[in-house]
Amino acid sequence: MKARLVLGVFREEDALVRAVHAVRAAEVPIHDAFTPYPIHGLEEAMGLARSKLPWVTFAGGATGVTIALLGQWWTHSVDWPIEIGGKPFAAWPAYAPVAFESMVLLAGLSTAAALFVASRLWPKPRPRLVHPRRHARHLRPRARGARRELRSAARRAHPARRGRGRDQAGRRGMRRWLALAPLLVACNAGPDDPGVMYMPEMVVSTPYDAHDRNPILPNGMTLQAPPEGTVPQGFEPFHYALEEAELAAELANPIAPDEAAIARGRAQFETFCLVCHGARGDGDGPVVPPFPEPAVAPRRAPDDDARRAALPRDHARQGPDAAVRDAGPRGRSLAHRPLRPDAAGRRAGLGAACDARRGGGARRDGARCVGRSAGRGRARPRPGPARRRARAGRRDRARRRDRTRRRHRTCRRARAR
Amino acid sequence: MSAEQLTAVGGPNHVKIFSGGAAIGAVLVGAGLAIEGARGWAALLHAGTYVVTLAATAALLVSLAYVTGAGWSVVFRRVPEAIGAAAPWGALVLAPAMIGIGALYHWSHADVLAEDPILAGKAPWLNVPFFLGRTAGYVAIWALFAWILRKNSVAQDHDGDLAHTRANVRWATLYIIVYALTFAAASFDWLMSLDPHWFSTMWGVYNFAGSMVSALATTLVVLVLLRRGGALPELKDDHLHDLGRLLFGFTCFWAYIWFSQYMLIWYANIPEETEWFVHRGHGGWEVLYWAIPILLFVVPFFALLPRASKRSGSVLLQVSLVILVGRWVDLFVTIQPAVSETPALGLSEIGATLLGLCVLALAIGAGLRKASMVPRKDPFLEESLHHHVGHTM
Repeated sequence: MKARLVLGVFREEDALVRAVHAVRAAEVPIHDAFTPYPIHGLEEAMGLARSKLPWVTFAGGATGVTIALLGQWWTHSVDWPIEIGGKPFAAWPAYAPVAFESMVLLAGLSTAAALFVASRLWPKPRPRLVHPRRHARHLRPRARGARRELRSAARRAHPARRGRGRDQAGRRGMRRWLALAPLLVACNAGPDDPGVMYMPEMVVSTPYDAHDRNPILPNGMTLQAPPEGTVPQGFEPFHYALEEAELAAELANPIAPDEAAIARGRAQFETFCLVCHGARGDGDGPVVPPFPEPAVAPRRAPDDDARRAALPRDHARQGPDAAVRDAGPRGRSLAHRPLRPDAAGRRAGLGAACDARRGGGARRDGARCVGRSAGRGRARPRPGPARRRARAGRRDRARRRDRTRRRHRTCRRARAR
Repeated sequence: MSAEQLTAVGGPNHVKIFSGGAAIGAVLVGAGLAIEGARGWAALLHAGTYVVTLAATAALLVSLAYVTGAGWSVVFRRVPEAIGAAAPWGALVLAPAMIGIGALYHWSHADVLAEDPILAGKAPWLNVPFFLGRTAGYVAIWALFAWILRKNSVAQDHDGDLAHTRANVRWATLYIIVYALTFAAASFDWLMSLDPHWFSTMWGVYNFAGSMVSALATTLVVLVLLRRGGALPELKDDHLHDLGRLLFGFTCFWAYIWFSQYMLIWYANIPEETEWFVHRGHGGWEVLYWAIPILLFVVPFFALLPRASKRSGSVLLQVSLVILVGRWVDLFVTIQPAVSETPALGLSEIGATLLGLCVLALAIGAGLRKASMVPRKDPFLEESLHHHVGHTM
């Protein structure tokens, strides 16, 4: 060590503070002071600058908030816009709790990390010893260093302990890592294994599912239509009644079926309609099998062909524009729509999507691939034939099972009567 | 106390000015009642609630210091004590608002109850005699506790008996419990029942958070002015620093509570709950409504974030004034929609605000003049005089 340092050892804090004052008054720079506990007024006496730790905390917190807000917004609004509980695609209030938590997390972790770095508390520090005869019982100004340095100094002072410390520490470290090893096993379950479920209330909830039968409500359905006269937010009054609207030929769709409108309509269709109506409006969306009375089919259709012929996609294809426009906010048949802000552009986009369908533009394998790949050249892979067959088989089995169950239920009820 | 100290805490001149202000305010409210009708009652309720809740919460600050055994705050304890003594003065503003109960609270009409089964169900709690009795009870309880705490504290100035501190710790413990119950109930009664179909179980704690920041802000305003006038030379930057940190923490607490209430109602989206926010977020109210979180959180948060601003009297003074305005807007947006379709600032509102402010200033001045500015024989005074916030913190 090239710099020349003078080391003072003090037994009382007052003496230390007085000495620090005196040394500074003589304009001799003080390298550091080491005390076993914080001493009132020592920081001022040494003329220490303010800690920069708060800036690290601030930067960590700001990073946490930014990442969490942007991540949620991008997922929910850009990458996979999906309607949840009638909330807008950019549901900022809902993002706040996560943003808050991640702010706290990153602020705390970065503060702790900065503290370790600033105190040189990383594995294998290079201790800069000022004087080997240092002992924890004394108060001393000293050079830089860390607690481990003190320990090694103490070890030197007590030769009997020498040589044992490092081995012990090593063994302790091993044991610590071994104790963490079972955590690795925890990641080993198959993708379909839900693992041990404790407090499964969130998975198996007591309320009736939205599309389930409901013995309590008068019409036997859980999902209820909004009360008569309910006006959705952002609804524009329309001066035609439902029946008139179908006849009102002058209500032509003002939106030209251009690429942009079709893409917009397609995105809307995929988000709101596809789950029940299926990719082509065939009523084979993923929620249809458990649906007791499919929203897309008439209740009593004599055979499959008739069902197919009566599907709403034909209304959409051959009906007047006004009917499409009217079906948007009001719906037809059994489909209940949640109340949500329904922008005019959204409806117009739907109309354009239907126009595109009339022209036969949609592909069988679901419009999402087309819409996505057009913009960004990154299509979602279509499931392979085996997987598709398996899925169709599952769907059919589920349908049959459901039908059987319903029949059994009806029989039981009849017997009970 | 020297003559100049007397002037600093409100000598005869200040008394004259504030009395005159209160008189003008009262006349304006009277004119407002004649011209603007129900808005006059709402404005009185607004000003009265502002002053009374602020006083009750200042007494809570004193209690918290006793219960936690805080030594640092002793040197300026007389200020929250004096603000706490303002509860009966605030009642002078709140009491006339109770005359207008019929104009403010529509549950008070028998014909409304007859047609409305929900309100009829609430009638055992929300009826005029019980309501008036509760109102009197809340103010009386808060005034009584503030008076006891202050009486013991002042008595100690003369005899230096430790028994006063011990007694106050007991009273303070009791007051914290009593305050929690009465304050929540008072918020439900005075403010939530303006819209008797609406309910929020967070309403009590929401108003507590607002009162807490405004009580801390008032304390800081008075302290900074006193120090500028030379009446409290013992007050160090370290005391302001810790008060500033409390203020900073409680603005965050306020934002947490405000957001929790808003988000739960926004997310559940149940008409009977959202109705309150829909009413206050549209039709001219939206600007005021969104000003509240800016005034009570965004501005104080960023202004108080640096260490230096928590040690600067002038920054603390300005932030405190912003917070006091924010609390005013908060109560305004809570109360006035009950009587007015759009926000209106007229004779009633200006008059009642002037009246409330002047009454508060008179009460604080009177409280400070009556006793020594520093609790001379408090056992923790020495600790408080040497209070020290870490240099690097």
